[in-house]
Amino acid sequence: MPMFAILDVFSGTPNPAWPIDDDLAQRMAALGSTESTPPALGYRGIQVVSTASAPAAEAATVDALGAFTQSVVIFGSADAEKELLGVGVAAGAVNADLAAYVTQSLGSGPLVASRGVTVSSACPPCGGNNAPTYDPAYWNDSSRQLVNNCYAYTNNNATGTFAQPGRGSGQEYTSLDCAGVGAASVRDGLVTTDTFAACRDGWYAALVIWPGQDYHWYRQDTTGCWSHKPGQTPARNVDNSGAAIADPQQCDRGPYTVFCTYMVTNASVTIA
Amino acid sequence: MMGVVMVATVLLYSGRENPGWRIPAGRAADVVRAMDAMPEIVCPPPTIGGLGYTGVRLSVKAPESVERIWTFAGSIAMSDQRCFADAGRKVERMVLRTGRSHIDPAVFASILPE
Repeated sequence: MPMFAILDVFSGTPNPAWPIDDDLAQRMAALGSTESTPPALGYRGIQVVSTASAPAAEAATVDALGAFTQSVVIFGSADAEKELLGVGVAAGAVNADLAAYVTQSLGSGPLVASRGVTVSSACPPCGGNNAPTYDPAYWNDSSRQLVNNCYAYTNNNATGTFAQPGRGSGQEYTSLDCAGVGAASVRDGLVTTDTFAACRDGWYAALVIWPGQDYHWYRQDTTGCWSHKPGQTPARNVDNSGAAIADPQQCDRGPYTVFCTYMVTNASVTIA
Repeated sequence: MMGVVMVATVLLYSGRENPGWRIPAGRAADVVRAMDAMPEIVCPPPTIGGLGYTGVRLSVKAPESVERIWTFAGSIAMSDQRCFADAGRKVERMVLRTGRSHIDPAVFASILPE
């Protein structure tokens, strides 16, 4: 009997559904339905169902499945949800925006599809001995999200001041380019480096520039992948295309087209 | 519209502070009328935005009432966890035009092409 996964997320339009193989369905069934209570709106988990009527090889929406029997609902088991979601992305049933939203709901880590299908780049080893843990709930709390920017996030220091490079050391940047913002951050205590391969104390950061407009920072977390917090918006571990960030020099950065440098920061860096 | 204070903030930058301005009373009245005409819709799943322009936040404070925060992003307007259709980005564009002098001309042209 064909098995499908259904992403329970929409309120008005039909939820995405995609076929899954028996091995994956059985492993999900073995987990059993979780006891977590999903929110009323937004992502509410992934159902694993069986149906006798839908074609097994085609992605679909739930209204195309006909009658089905629910096996389990996976919610609150991030690894399992990522695996199911990865299959949905690979099948074309879940687009990048939706995948990014669900991934954000799940927490850290890239999507991993079963049977070796790579959905996003694998995370490289984390070279920072003191790298922060990806913890979006802390940064996206209502008391912090609007008053902390990318620079505060990268330095893992929620100053609540919309921290600016150089302000903490008494001389803020004066030009919106790699040289100006980079030098200001060095005054604060960051150190430039050519790569992020070596193991060293502190953790890696990366500076990019929207020419003449703005700067932006990424940081490498314990997972080895990178995360960031675009201004007043939520912290996230995906790029502008919804993909996990294995290297900020290679990811989709929107208008921040100039990659400046990798840097190393640590807990004693002074920002304000 | 006497006494309504309307402050717009463009959701644009990551490091720098976003551009913001108070909308003049006369223009604020036009914006309120346009907002009142928006039909309520079922909220779509939230998108997490990204780098670059992602919308306009609008703070609306009338005398003796609580501040309401609106976010206009694409064709959707949101406030108090309710969603409304901003057909053709009419209200979003109207708000942006009130702040033309506060936004870099090249950026303004990219987010609101003539």
